Amino acid sequence: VKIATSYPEPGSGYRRSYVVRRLPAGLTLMYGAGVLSALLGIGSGVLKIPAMDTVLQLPLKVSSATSNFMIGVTAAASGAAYFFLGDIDPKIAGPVALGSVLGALLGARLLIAISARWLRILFVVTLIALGVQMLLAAAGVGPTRHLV
Amino acid sequence: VTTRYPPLERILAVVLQVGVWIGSALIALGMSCASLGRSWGVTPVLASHMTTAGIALLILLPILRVILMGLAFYRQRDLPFSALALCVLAIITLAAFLGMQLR
Repeated sequence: VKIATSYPEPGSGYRRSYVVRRLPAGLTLMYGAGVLSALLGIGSGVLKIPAMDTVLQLPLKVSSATSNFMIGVTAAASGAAYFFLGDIDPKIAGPVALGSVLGALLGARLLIAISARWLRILFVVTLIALGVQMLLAAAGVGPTRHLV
Repeated sequence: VTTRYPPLERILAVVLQVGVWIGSALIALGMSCASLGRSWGVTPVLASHMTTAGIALLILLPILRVILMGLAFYRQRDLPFSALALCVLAIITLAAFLGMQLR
């Protein structure tokens, strides 16, 4: 399996090379990320991206794109199950899907346009906000209906 | 290195972009028809089916992406990666099947 590859750097026209390292450790962490995200009900991207960044040593933009790919694939499996069971209400899912598509379009353009440094800062701020939200929810502050 | 086939990234990008646009257009049309459908001669059931078709397409796209990747890797004779794609496809199918059974 080839695990040394490259991705295009926007603007410069160059391709940045990278090597995937410590694959077994990465696989183990991804398993842990999957278990934790299922337990806590949070998007696994916030757990997968640091794991790919630190253990597999992927560039942050590659980690973000790979995380999107993985989430799409895993969500498709559960999405298909819910769909065939008739659990998806078009009145609710329609606006949610449209909003998500619009947000994803903006996010994909931002991912290409902004520097890796700003992407890292944005990611850390998002992680902190998520942590604060979970702490507040655990302390019973704010809307906690989803925890009941 | 030149190959006979377009780069995989380009094929995937086109398929995903076109799929997302068609899916989103169907959802937007279905939602519009649901609120204004009577004056357009569209029944609420048909409007709901349009939205559902768009949602189904959006769910299908990541699966289609894995299928395309598997085929593209196989055509490039990259057997380890085509086997990985097949493995991912099998996991998606199994997970969806188990998800329906476990309810």
